[in-house]
Amino acid sequence: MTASGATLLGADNKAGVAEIVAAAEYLMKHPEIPHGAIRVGFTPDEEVGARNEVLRRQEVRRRLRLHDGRRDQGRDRDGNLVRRRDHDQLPGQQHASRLRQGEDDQRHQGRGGFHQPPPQGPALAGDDGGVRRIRAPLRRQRVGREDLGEAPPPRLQDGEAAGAGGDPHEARATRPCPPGPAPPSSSKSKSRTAT
Amino acid sequence: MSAWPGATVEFKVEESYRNMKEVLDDHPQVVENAREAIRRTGLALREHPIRGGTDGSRLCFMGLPTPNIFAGEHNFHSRLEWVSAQDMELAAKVIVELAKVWEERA
Repeated sequence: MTASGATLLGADNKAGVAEIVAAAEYLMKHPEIPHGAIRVGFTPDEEVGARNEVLRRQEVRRRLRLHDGRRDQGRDRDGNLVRRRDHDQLPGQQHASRLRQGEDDQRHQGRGGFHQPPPQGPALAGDDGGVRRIRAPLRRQRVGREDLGEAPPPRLQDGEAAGAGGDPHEARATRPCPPGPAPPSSSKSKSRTAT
Repeated sequence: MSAWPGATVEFKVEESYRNMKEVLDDHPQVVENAREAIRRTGLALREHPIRGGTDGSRLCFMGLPTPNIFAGEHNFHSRLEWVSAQDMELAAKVIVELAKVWEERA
């Protein structure tokens, strides 16, 4: 399978999302398979998410945390009180403290150009153990070829000098660079301190 | 620099992600359970560190150790990315096995 070509990536990570959903469906259809509380989280913009904390730490703590002991009982589909098997408290909790002071939560705000989740948080499913359907807040922005097609870039006529008109980027690119000093020889530059 | 008088250089370092190994090493059961799930699916284990990563490495430092398991894709980040349906099926099976392994070892 390949991607349709309409979006940035194909197999990575749509394949992974499909597999996770398929596994969730399988587990829901096979309640005889014992398993602990499972939460499923999908983050947008995995590839460029480095500077966008789309998953805020508080959200991770609150929504992905396995039960803390106070909520270790629940009701199954028939309303019977059952004890949940929860495997661990958030096992890496102490690592959150390794983050620098102030480096969390709302840090992604104000960084333009990225797909940001609305303030209420990312799409994380699961409150009480089972896999369930949720309504995920989603902000869509579509920029396709057709959206850009209204103003095609001006084309240079044959014989017209580049830079004489039309695309301002062309003009800039063809303007000669002002003469600069010769680059230092490598032996000199080693002994000099950067200013 | 001295050859270009008046020039300035701006140098700024921004952390984008850290090495998840720091966190995963403290919680070996997370990776060990993934290994077991892959074995039970009947696959040979192939492990290697991978450069990059953002959400898993960030999640690790948010308190949720998050190693990556395979999704089956080929030709990452190219126009010719592709995945086979059979591999996807195996990846889904690994996830189901993973749920079982965690339950057993709880």
